[in-house]
Amino acid sequence: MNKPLGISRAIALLGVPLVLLITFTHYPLLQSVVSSFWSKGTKIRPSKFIGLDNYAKLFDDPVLAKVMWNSLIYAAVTIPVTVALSIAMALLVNSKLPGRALMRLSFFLPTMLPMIAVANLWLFVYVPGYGLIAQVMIWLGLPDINFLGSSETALWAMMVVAVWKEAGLFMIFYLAALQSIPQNLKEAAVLEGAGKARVFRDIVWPLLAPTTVFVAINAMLNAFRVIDHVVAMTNGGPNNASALLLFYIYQVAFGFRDFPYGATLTVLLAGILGLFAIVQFKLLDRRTHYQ
Amino acid sequence: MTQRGASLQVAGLKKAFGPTSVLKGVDFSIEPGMFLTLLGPSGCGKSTALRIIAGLEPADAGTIRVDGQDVTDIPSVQRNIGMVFQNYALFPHMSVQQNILYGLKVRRTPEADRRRALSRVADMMGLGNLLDRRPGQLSGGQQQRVALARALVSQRPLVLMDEPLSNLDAKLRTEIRAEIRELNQRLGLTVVYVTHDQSEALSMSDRILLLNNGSAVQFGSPQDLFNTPATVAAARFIGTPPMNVISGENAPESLGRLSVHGDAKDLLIGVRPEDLSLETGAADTRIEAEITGWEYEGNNTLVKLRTSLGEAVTLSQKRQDMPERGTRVSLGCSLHALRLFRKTDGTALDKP
Repeated sequence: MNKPLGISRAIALLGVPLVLLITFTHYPLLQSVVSSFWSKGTKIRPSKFIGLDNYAKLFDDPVLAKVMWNSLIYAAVTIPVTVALSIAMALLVNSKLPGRALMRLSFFLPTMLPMIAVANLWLFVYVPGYGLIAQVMIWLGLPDINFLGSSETALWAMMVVAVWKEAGLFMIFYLAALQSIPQNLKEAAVLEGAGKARVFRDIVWPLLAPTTVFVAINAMLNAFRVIDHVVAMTNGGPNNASALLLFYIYQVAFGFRDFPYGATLTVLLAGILGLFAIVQFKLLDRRTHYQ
Repeated sequence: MTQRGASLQVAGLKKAFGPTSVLKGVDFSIEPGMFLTLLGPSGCGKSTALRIIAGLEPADAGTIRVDGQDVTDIPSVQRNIGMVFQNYALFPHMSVQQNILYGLKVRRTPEADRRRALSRVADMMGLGNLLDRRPGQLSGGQQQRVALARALVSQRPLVLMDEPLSNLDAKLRTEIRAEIRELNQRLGLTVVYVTHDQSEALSMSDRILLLNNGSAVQFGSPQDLFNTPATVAAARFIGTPPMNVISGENAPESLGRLSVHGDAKDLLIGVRPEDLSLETGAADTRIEAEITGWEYEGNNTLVKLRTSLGEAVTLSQKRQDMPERGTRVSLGCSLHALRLFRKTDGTALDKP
């Protein structure tokens, strides 16, 4: 049935994706590595090779320390919350409740919206004085808080938006995984005396593990990749309180026009993401092959 | 080691899913240690009945008593019932040992008792060297034994089995069939077994409940169901090949000799393929037919025929020589081999 492909045709077929990958992924990354070894050029002083000086700069950059810390908190909080919320929503829409089609739609709706639209929507929710939360707080007699304008709350307000937007997408993955768990496994556990919580803990949760690994890694990548809402809502402020690593790269490279240092930061980010990818594949290999 | 089985009484069991009535009032009762098979074509309600007995599905009406105690409204686990599911329902992320001991762990049985129970069923089912494997690393027959071990480990007196052999190949099926029957007899367990395979039902059961469209067709021993089917449906379902059912007009004079009153046109004659003969010697009655083909099965040969009214008839014989297709023959059979049914509702006339 399958005739072996001629060598020239094989090269042609492999060549197309290879050209695309090299042009848009490998070459730019390589170029970033190269330019991270050079200094910032000006009209008077042209760019020159400075070795690892840009990397040394990473260690005494207070803004970088701040955005790394922000990114870490952002990932550490949004990932578990997103996982928990999306499982809860998947369980809810997988049950036999009336109106679950409407529920599925409304949980999935935030995912379909572009991040910029989501950010605008939440700007209205957060805006002090007449925003949705502000009106409720005033009605309850509580003090009005400028969520996006104060350094204590800006990052947290951003995290709420990210969770709200992403939980719906991961709910779809969990819903598919839930529906692939045979009903009779749960029934066998019930016959042995397991209650609802026990069935979830002993049967459902372990069988969702492959999905959880997948979701956790993707949430992790998104935590480092998506900054649309930062740009639209706070622009990293106040005082870098809500700036994330990628946003800082954008600022350094295109705001301050320091391309070599931006490239250095990019190499750092690529390294972090590459590490996650390795962890993902190791985890997937180890714990997801039951059949 | 013996344990006592439980008795089971089911009365007036009804269940509907929306507008579809799947059980229309089913009754039966079995003694401790009996092997009952719920038999019927797919969609007859046999699995639903089993799930209601297990407590996985609520009944719309009717009562279920285990050892005289009404369990209709109590949760599954308190009914003290073990169950083997159709696709085994083994937990894929747990080892064989964890699968078998899951119930004991949930119910907080002391560690020492758990170990004893495990070694008992592992020996009984020959699982000793598989205990650390995952279900995915086992063959179908081994998975089946683990599922049985899980149902037996708690020594519950009543065990339900939902088509447990349907995923196994033919050879393994006969092997495990014998094992299950042996366990039932040796341990004195009461077993309720669901299958659509009538030969499985005939070979394993003490009692068979034949279901069709949610109603009981016949309840009795395998011999009762084979020798004296209560309806045409029962006659057509049981036996390989099943009973021939032809119109009474094919052999009206034999009906006269059975001193049955009424018109031959209103009756159906049932006769088992092995009770028909191609021999030309003396026979109580004869049916004219034409040979249309045959199937060689090794130990016997099935001859396919067609009566003058165009009805298909099968004959089973030991002889291996085949008469030609198209030959007109006269099938002989003895009067006591005939079963008569009313054409109107399919019920059997009393035995002559």
